[in-house]
Amino acid sequence: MKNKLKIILCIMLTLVFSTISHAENLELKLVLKDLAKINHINAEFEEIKSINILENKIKLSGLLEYRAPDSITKKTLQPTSELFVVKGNDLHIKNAAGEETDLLLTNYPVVEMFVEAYRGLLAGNLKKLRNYYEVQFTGNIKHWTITLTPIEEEALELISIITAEGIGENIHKVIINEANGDSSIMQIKNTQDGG
Amino acid sequence: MFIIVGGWLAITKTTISSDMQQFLPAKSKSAPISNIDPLKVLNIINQANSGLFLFAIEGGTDKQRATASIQLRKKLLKDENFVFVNNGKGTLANKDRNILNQYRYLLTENADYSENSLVKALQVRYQELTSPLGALFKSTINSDPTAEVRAILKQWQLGKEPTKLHSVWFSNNKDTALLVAGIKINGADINAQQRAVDIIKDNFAAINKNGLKFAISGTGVFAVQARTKIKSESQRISVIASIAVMLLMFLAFRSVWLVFLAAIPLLCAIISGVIVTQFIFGSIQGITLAFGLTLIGVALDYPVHIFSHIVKSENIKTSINNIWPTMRLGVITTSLGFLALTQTNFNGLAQLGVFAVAGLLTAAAVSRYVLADLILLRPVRTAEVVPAWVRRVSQFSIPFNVINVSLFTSVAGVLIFMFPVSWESDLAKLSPIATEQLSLDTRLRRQLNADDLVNVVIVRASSSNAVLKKTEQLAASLDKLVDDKTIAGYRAPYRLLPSIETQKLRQQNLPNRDILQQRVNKAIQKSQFKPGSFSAYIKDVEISKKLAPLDKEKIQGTILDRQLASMLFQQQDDWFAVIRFLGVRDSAGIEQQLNVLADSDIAYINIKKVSQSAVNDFRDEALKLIAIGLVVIFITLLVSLRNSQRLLRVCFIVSMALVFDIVWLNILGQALSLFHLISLLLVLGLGLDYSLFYTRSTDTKAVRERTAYGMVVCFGSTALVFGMLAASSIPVLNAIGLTVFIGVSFNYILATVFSAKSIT
Repeated sequence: MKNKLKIILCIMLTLVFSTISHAENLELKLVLKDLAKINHINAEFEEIKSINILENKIKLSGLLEYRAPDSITKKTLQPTSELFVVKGNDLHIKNAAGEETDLLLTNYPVVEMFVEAYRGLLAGNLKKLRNYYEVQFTGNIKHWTITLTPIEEEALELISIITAEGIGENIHKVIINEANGDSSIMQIKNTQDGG
Repeated sequence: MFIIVGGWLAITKTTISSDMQQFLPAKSKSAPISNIDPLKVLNIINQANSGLFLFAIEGGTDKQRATASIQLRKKLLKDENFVFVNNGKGTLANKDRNILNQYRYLLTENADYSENSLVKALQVRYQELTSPLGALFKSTINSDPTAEVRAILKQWQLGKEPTKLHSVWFSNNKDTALLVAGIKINGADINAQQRAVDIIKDNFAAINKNGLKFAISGTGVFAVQARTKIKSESQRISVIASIAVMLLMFLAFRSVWLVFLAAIPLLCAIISGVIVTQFIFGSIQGITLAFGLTLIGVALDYPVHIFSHIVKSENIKTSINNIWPTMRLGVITTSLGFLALTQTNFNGLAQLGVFAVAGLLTAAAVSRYVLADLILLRPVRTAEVVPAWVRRVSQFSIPFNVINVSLFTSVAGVLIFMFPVSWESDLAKLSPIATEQLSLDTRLRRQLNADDLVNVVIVRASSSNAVLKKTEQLAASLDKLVDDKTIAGYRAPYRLLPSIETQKLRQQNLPNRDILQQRVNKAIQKSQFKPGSFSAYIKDVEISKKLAPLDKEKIQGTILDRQLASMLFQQQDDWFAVIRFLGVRDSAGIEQQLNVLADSDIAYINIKKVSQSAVNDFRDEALKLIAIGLVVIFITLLVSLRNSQRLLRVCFIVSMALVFDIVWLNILGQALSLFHLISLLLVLGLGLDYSLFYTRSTDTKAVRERTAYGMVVCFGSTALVFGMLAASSIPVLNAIGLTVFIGVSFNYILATVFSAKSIT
C-alpha cells in the first residue's frame, strides 16, 4: 500500500515537473520567437568587467548594433575606442591603437562560443544555442531570464554560465560568469527598434 | 635448367629500384663551383617530398567532411607508417606544448626584457584582456606576459593557416576538408609510397559512411600512379603483342613448336641480362630493365633468321652455319655499340649497356648452339615455299650508286633543315599523370599554403648543430627578401630549433631574478595589474636561465622533430639544411641576395633548372656515347667485312634509317627525349641486322628468298609490337613505340631497296 502510494506520488511529481518544464520550454520558445522578429537593433551598452589580476573593475561603454541574421557590431567608445564586427564567419577587429585584424571565427572556438551565444539569442535560434549550451528559462514572457551553460567540458573550464535577462522582446542585461571567477555584466539600452 | 634456375635467381634476388630520377646520375657531371652538388640536393629534396601526401575530402555536408577528416586522422596516426597527420586539429600534442612552454625563452627570437618593453607588454595585455577576445589570452597572462608562446608559434608557422571549420582545415570556399600526412620513407621508395596510398584509401573507405569523395595528391601519389599506369598499359600491350607475334610466327612457319622455340633466346637474354647487371652493379634499376627489354627486342629476330633457313635438302646445322657469320657480325657490332654505353659514370646508362650486351650475346649464343638441337627434337615442316610476293620483293632493288645515294641524302638534308630537332628537357612532360591530378595538386598546395617546389636554399656543414648555426647567418638576408616582397615567407630550420650557441646567448641575455623582479614591479606600477600578478613569469625566466639547451635528441617524437625531418638531412659526413619559400615572386632575387654571401657551403638551387640540366647532361652523355658506339661499329665492320662496297651499303642504310627516323619524329612534332634516344639504339641494332643480311653478295636466289622471308617476319613482328606501343597515350611508351616503329620501317625499306643482287 505504501509502495503504491510512493509510485503514484512519483508519477504525479513526474507529470507536474514535465508540465512545468514543458511550459518553460513553451515560454522560452515564445520569447525566442519574439526576439527573432526583430531584424535590426541599435543599442547603447555599459559593461563592467571584474578581472582577478586587475586592480580595478573596468567600465566600458559604447554602441551595439545587430542586423539579422548574423551581424553584430560592438563599438566601445569609453575608456578607449575599439571596434569588433562579426558577420558570418568573419571577425574584424580594430583595437585602441587603430590596428586592424581580420580573423575567421571558426579558427577561434572560444570566441565563437561567446559570439554564438549573442547571435543565438538575438536571432531567437534555439537550435544554434543548443549546439553550444544547455538552455534554461525562468520567469515569464514579460520578465524573463535565459541561462546558458556550456555543454563541452573544455568550454566549462572557461565559462561557468551566461545569463541573459530581458523584458519582452528586449534583452537588457547579459552576465558572463567565467570559471576563474572573472565576470562581465553588460547593460543594454535599445535606442531604436527595427521590424 | 639454366632458364629455370636463372629465372628464379633473377626474380628472387633482383632488387629493382624503380624511379625515373634514379636513372639520372647520382653526382653532377660538371664540377660544381660550390661544395654543394645540386644533384645530390635534388635527391635530398625528392626524398623529403616523396613522403608527403595531401588529401581532400569533398561532398556531403561540412559537418560530415569535418568528422571524416577527424576520424581519418585518428586512424592514420595509429598506423606506424605515418610520421604525422595534420588537419588543423590538435596539431600541438601535450609533449609539444610542454617543450614550447619550457623552452620558450630559448626559442623565441625577439624577446626584450627591459622595463620599457615590459611596460608596453602589460599595456597590450591589458588591452587584450578587456577586449571581446580577452578570454583567449587569460590563462597564460601570469606566466607569459610578453606573449612569447604566441610569438614562437608565429615563428614556427609559415604563412597563414588554412581556414578552419569545426576545428579542422578547410578550403576557403569550405567545399573541401584538407589534410597533410607524412610517412617514414627512405629515398624515393615507390613501394612504401604505394603502401601508404593503399593504407590511406582503405582507412578512408572504412570511415566513409556518407559517400564522401576523396582525393590524394603528392609526389608519391604521382610516382605510384605513373608506375601503375605504365605497368598496366605495358602489360596489356605486351599480352596483345605477344599473341599477335605468336600468330604471325605461326602463320609464317606453321609450327607450334617453332613458335615456342622463338621465345627461348629472348627469355635467356633477359635472364642473363638481369643476372650480369645485378652481378656487376649490385642491383638493377627498374627503368634499366624496361629500357633493356626494348633494346634486346632484336633477340627475337635471331631464331626467325634460323627458322626461315630450314630446308629439307640441307642439314639444319649447315643452314645455321651458312647464316651464322652474318648474324655474328650483327650481334658483335650491335653489342660493341651498346658497350660504349658502359663507359660512363651515369649509372643508368652503364647498367643499360651491360644489360643489353649480356642479353644480346646470350640470345645469339643460344640461337646458334642450342636452338638447332631443340628444333630437331620435333619434326618440323620446312618453309620451302616462300610466298610469291616475298620472292618478288626479294629480287627488287635499285642500284647503290652516286645518284641514288645523293638523292636520298639530299632529301634527308632538306627535311632535317625544315624540321630541326627539338629536345625535351622537362621530365615532367613525359609523365603519364593526368592534368586533373596535377591541377588537384596545385589547388591543394595553394589551399594548404604548402612550400614552393622550385626554389630552395641549401646549407652544408659537418654536424646538425653546425648546419643550424650556419643557417642562422642567413637570417638577415632572408628577412630582407621578405621585406623586399621577393618572397612572402620562408621556412628555415633554425626558426624551429636554434643552434646551441644561439640558445646559450639568449640565456645570457635573460635578466637575473632580482633585476627582473624590480623591472616587473615598476611595470606593474605603471599598469592596471595587481602587484604580484607575474610571479610565475619571474620564476620561469629564472629556470630558463639554467636549462640545458634544446637539441635534436630532446625533441624526438615532437612536432619540432617531424617538421625538421624535412629541413635537416644527413648524408654520410655532411649535414644539409634546406630553406624553403612561400609565395616566390622573383627567383632571381633570391639567388642574387644569396650570392652576395659568396659562401661555398650555401647554395641557391632552382630545382626545375637542376633537373632540366641533369636531363640535358644525360642526353649529351648519351649522344656522345652513341657517337663513340657508331665509330666502334664502323671500325668493326671495316675490319670484318673487308669489302668497301658492302661496308658503304651497310653504313648508308643504317645511318639513313636513323636520320629518316629522327626527321619523321620531328615532322610529327615530337620533342626528342632520352626515351627516343635509347629507342634509336634498337633501331640501329635492327638496321645493322637487316642490312648485313641483305648485302650478302654470295647468296643464291633461293637463299635470298628465304632471307627475305625471315626479314618480313622480323620486320612484321617488330612493327606489330612497337606499333601498338606507338598507339599508347602514355608519353614514354608512345615515344619508344613511335621511334622504333618508324625506324624499323625505314630499316626494312632501305635494306630492301639497297639490297645487293643475289647470284642467279
